[in-house]
Parts: sequence; C-alpha cells; structure tokens
Amino acid sequence: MVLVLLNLAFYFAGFAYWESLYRDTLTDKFLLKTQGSIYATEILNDKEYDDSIQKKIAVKSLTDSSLKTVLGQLAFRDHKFLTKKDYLYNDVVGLNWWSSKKEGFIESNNAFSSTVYGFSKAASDLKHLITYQFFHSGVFHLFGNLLLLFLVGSALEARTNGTLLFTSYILSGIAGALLYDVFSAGASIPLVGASGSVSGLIGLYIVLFWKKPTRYFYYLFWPHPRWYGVLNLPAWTLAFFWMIGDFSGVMAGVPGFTGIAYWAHIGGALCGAAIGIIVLGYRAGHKELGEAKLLDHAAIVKKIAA
Amino acid sequence: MVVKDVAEVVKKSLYKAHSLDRLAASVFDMLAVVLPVVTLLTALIRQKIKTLILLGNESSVALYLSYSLAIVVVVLFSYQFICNALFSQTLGQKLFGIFVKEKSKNKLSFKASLQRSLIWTLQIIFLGLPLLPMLFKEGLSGFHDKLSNSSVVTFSSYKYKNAISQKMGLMIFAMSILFILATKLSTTAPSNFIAEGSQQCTRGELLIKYDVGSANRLDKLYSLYLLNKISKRCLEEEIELSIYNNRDNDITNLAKADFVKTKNSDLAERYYSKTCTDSKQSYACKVSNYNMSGELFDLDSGAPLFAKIELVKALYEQGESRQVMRALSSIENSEHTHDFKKTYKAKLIWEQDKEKAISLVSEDMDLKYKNSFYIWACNKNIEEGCSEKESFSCKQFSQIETVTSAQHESYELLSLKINVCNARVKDSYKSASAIKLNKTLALPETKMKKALLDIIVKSNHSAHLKATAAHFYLESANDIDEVAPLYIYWMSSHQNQSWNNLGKRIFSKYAEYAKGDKLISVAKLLDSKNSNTLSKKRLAEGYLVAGRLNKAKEIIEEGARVRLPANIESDMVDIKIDSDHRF
Repeated sequence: MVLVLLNLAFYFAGFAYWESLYRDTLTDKFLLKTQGSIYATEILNDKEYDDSIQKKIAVKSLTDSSLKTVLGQLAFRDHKFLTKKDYLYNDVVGLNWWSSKKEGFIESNNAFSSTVYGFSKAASDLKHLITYQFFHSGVFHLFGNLLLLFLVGSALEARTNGTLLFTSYILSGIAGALLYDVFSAGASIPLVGASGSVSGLIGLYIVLFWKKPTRYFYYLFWPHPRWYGVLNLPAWTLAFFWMIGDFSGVMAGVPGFTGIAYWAHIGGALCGAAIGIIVLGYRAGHKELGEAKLLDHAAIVKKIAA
Repeated sequence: MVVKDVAEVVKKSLYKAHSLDRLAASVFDMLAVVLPVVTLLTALIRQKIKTLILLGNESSVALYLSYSLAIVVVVLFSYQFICNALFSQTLGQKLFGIFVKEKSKNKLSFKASLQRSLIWTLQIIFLGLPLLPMLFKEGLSGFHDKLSNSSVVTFSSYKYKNAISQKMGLMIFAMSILFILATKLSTTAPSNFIAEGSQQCTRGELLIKYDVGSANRLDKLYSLYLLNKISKRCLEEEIELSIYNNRDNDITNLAKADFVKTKNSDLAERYYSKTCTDSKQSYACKVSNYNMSGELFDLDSGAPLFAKIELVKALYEQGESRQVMRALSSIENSEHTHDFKKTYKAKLIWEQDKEKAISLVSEDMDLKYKNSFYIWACNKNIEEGCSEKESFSCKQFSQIETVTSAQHESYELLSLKINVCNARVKDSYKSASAIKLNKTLALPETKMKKALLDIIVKSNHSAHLKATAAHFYLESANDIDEVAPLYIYWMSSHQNQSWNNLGKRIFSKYAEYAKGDKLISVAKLLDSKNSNTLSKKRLAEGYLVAGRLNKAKEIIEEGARVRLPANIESDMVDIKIDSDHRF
C-alpha cells in the first residue's frame, strides 16, 4: 500500500504539462529535418556509430531527404549528440538557428518532470536511481504498473513481510536502471516507471513460490460463463508469460526506436530472482541451524535422562 | 487431468465435444501458448522488417513476412502434434475438459496425431474457413477428424443454452473485429518514423541533372528549379550533398532561403544575408537583396541564368513591363527557358490583348506552364468581378485535371474564389490554405474580417493565401478604417504581382472616400523607418491620391518611379509618365 501511495503521490505532485516549446519542437518538421542533417553529418564522421542503424539511415539520407526527419527524431535520444559543443555541419546559418532551438528544447526538457525525476545518462546518481521508480509518464503507464504492483505486492506481502517487499522493490528498480544504462547506448530520453521494480517483485515471487499454484484469470473475449474463469498454474509459469514479452521486445526492437525499456524489466526481474535465491538460502540455512539446535537439545535431554 | 489412456479411466459416457468448447479451446491455445512462442521466435525477423521499413526498402519486407508466416505454421503444427501425440489434448482442450480420441482405439496413435495436426494446420492457414461448417452444424466432423479417424470428445454432458444465437453473436463479433482491423490498417497514416518514399528525383529530373554537368552545377540546377524543371526535393538533395561536401556557398544559402521563406521568414532573411557575406557584388547577393528589401538590380553580360529569371519575376512584380521584355530577351532560348519566356510574354500582353496572350500559351507548351498560366489568368479575371468566371481562361481552368504540388495551393484557392462567386459551399478542399480560408469565410462577418486580416499579416502564410485573403477582405471592407490596415500592409510589402493588383483595388476604394491624408501619414512613417525606392513610390502615390500633385512631383523627380492610380489622369501632373507605368 505504501508503495502504491508513493507512486500516486509522485505522479500527482510531479506531473507537469509539457512546455509548448517542448511539444512544438518535437513536431516541427523543418527543425527535425535540419537536426537530422546535422546528426547525419556527425554520424558519418564518427566511428562510434559504425554498424549502427543510425549509420545506415544517415548514409541513405544523403540521397533521400525524407530520412532526415527520421534522423532528427532519433537525435533527441542521443545524449552525446545533444551535448556536443561543436558540430561538423557546414550550413552555418542552419546550424546557428538549430543551436538556439536546441538550447530552448534542452531548457524546457530539463524542466519537464520526467527529466527531473527520471533516470538517464545525464541524471544517473543514486537519487535518480530511486526517484525514477515512482514517477510515470502518463495515467495509463501509472495505472498498469500500479495494478501489477497491487497484485504481486499483495501476494508477496501476505507470504513474506513488508520490509522484504520494499527492499526488493527498490533494489530491483536500481538493478533495472543499471542494466538499462548498459544497453541504452547513450540514451538521453529519461527512464521512468515502476516496471523494473515490479518485475523484480515478480522475479522474487517466482523464486520464493516456485511450485505454488497461482490463480490466473482468463477471458476469451466472449461473455459466456465457460469462456472466462480462473486457472491454477504453478508460479513458475509467470516467468514464461512475463519474460517472453521482454525478451522478444529486446530482440525485436530497433535500437533507439523503442519507447519501452525492456532491459530495465529484465534487470529488475533478475535482481528480484537473485534476492529470492538469497532469501531461500537464508531460510534453508536457518532451518538447518534450527534442526541442528533441536538435535543438540535432544542429545542434551538424552544425556540428562541417561 | 491429462488423458493418457482412456482404458485407465473409469468408463463413463463419452459425448462429442461441443463446437463452442472446441473453438474456445483453440482460442485459449492461440492466446496462451502459440502467440507468446511466435512472438519470441519471430522477434529478430520483426526487427529486420522494422529496419527495412525505416530504410525505405519495403520491397524486401514481403520476404521476411513470409519467413514469419512459415514460423507461425511450424509452431502451430508442432504444438498440435506434440500435444496430440503425448497427451491427446492441448492445454486449451484440457481447460475445457475435452480430448481427442481415435475411433476404436484407446489412445491417439502417432500416425493419427500427425495426420490430424497437419490437416488442422492447413485449415488454419486458409484462415480457418474450412472449419466454419463445424461451428454451425453441431456434431459435424472436420477434415482433420475424418482423415485421422478421430474425434474430440468429453465426459461432460454440459449443453450450451441458446447455442445458435451464441454462434451468431460470435460470428458478428469476429467480423466486426476483422472489419475494424482492416479499416485501421488501410487508413493508418505512416508513422513519423517511416520514410515517406525514397524517390528524391524522378527519372526525368535525373536525366536533366545529368545533362547539367559539373561546371557551375549549382547555379544551373538552381535556375532549373526556378524554371520548374526540377522539383524542390530534387534540388534539396544536391544542396545537402553540397553542404556535406563542405561547399557552403551563396547558391546553397540562396536555395535554402527559398525553401524556408514561406514557413520561416526570419531564417530566410538570415540565409539571404549570408549570401552577401563573401561578395556583395555577386548575383546571389543581388537576388537576396531583392527578396529582402525589393531593391532591383541590373544585369551584365555575364549574369547567370538564375539572376535573369529572378529579375524577370521581380520586374514583373513591380509592373516594369518594358524592363521585363528587356530582361526576357537576355535569356537564351533553350528547351528549358522556352515555356518560361512564353508565359511572361503572355502575361505582359494580357491587359492589351487577352486573346493573343491565350493563343501564345495554347501553342506547344508544357502542360505545367499552361495550367499555371490559366490559374493566373482566371485569377486576374475573377478579381475584376464574379461575372468573369465565364471567361475563356476560367473555362480552361475548370478543365484542369492534374496540377503539380507547387500549383496545388493556388489552384484550390482559385476554386474557392469561384465557388464563392457561385455561392457554393464546398467542404472538401485538400490544401491547408484552402481549408483554412474556407473555414474563415464561414465565420460571422466581424470575426471573419479579423481572421482574414490575421492571415494577411502573419508571416508564416504563403503569398497565395495572403493575396486571396486580401481579395475577400477588400470585398467585405466597408469603410476607410477597415481598408487602412490592408493598405498599410500592402504599402510595406514588395510582394508579387497580385499585390499590385490589390493596390489598384485599394486605391479605387480609397478614391471613393477621397481623403488620402491617412495614406500619406502611413507612407511617411514607413519611409522614415526604411527609406527606399518602394517607400518613396508609396509616398508619391499617397500624395497623388490626395491631389497634392506638386508634392508628388517633387518625390517623383527625386527618382521614385510611380504608377498612377486609375482615377488620376496623366495630364494633371506636369511630369513625364511612361504609359507602361499606368495601372
């Protein structure tokens, strides 16, 4: 409940409407085209982009200016490009004009809630590693994560305790962000949302209650009593359904073009599973210790009796 | 309960599974098992498809889609086969308590499983249509049942209530979903991430570009662009390549200014200014100066073609007919310049002899130029009054079938004017300008006038839109105060010929109210802010309208070339006025 309330509080306290400049910038086709031309020049002269999809698009854009708009949109996700001091583009007028627009965009972007609370290359300290988990980019994003948090969190809290739940939530979120950072190739778009944390709770649940029957509600799109109902399956099946989406998302995504941070989910889930293994090990150890103590106690009693 | 051997189970009555249960089991299998597995296995193919679309290589997408389809088929078959062979039921069938039994056998044999799975999969490939009869005739066996000598049975005696209406409902539901999907797929606008199309230049344009060669290539290409022989997109490719190859020169800046001037006049001004950085004597700089402030320029023998073209246009806009003829004659005759020269000659003689003008255009000319001329000519006629919509040029206009993207806006705006003349309200314009103006004209009168003025004054509207808005504004303006803002705007602009016609009409309206003092005060203000030939001209015109002829003469003798308003006779002024300078 605390986690749900924290998420809600952050959302309503921190939500800010987009500055008109921010929104206008993202839909200004001429700006995007110019930005794309500048970005193309940088890409074609920087070996770091070799083998990337951006390089292929940049090469093609030399003879197809419509691809410049695509590059322009991609450029917003490239932190290294946006924060450069000097650019190689030879159209001085266009470059100066774009630079002033870019400064304005960055300024309004910095005021945007996602940037303030989200995790990105420019905001990768501990504070942001934690705050990003409680901030969402919209109502549906928040609703989806809270629903999952409620379902999984309730099940976990009933069988474990709040401290483990809270700790796993935070640590999984941190792990998710770190894994995302490794694979995000310099993304400047901030990471927000509780998905990594919730994935961690799911990972924890799967490991702790591996064989325990889990109730799934199914609905086959027809309002007949036989077409919906509840199904009991072991908890490990959650891994199948949850992870398939993330792994296929990672494999199917074109770098820089996806809006879902699949690696954050995977990182969170792995961390949650690792915490689950540690907890199981701790419990097993304590059980042995407990049994050993009982045995010792029995030996003492026997000795006394003898 | 997994059915391993029917004989092991206590013998109960077996019933044929209801078709709705079978359908529900299949839906469950698809959603819970097949879909996730297919999603995973086709992930890399989907990435490849997305990449191909991004790069505009749509032709290869079909190949990868077929790979995806093959994977779907393999997964479907494998799932059915493994479940049938090992468990005699799929997960979905287990959920609904149904299972497959081979007739006269206890367990489904390997051969029967194989046959059943194969045929079932084939039927699914045909969108499941061969399975439909089973849904509507209860108890009917499918091909996969018959050929494998098996059937789907259950121990449950559950009966669906109102089974027929359930099935009808399901069919309608499924058809609706399919319809919505099909509509959405066919009307979905391409994502912003998808390249619009990789044809930068048409084949014809490529041939023209090839012929240009490499000497003064950009000059020549820019000239061809001005002559409408190559499109903006085609020129843009060269300009960007030139910039990429470190050739930022005055032509690239001139072209870029031209590309952006409608949408972003400030940026266009910066590009124009940049053309003069290296040399104020270059023709690119002279053309830029004209675009910025209306200052005309002279040509020498070595002037490039683009300068000659721009000068012809500039002189025509300023009504300097004789100079236009001179500039036209300096342009060499070629297949590229032929239509351009003919069009301007036709425009020059239009006032004197419309028929001759039309006959010039009717000769063997590029259809693009002909259409352009008819749009221009009909526009001129309509400005004189709605009765002119029956003129020859307007009839030719009504027969235009296709226009270029550059002509589209002016074509639609003229259509709008004619529709207004015919009191016809048409809602289906396609160009943003026509849509905007049509909406504006539908507003209540006071709001409409304000909105029209807004369109005229704001810099991010095209010249065509502004001119058409001005036409409607002037029609609706009732008094001097309403006309004044339009006049002020006209006085401070040096835009195209249509504005000069507007000036004539404004003068006519002002003449009705016969004051002129306001014109003079505005003209003085503009002259004090930025004194040039244009501002002097406007000042002289203001004095002429006010009847202060000596003052007008003083300014004219200082060098301002002046056109007389229609209501002023030349003999009232003791100065030499070239007849070409009349309105």
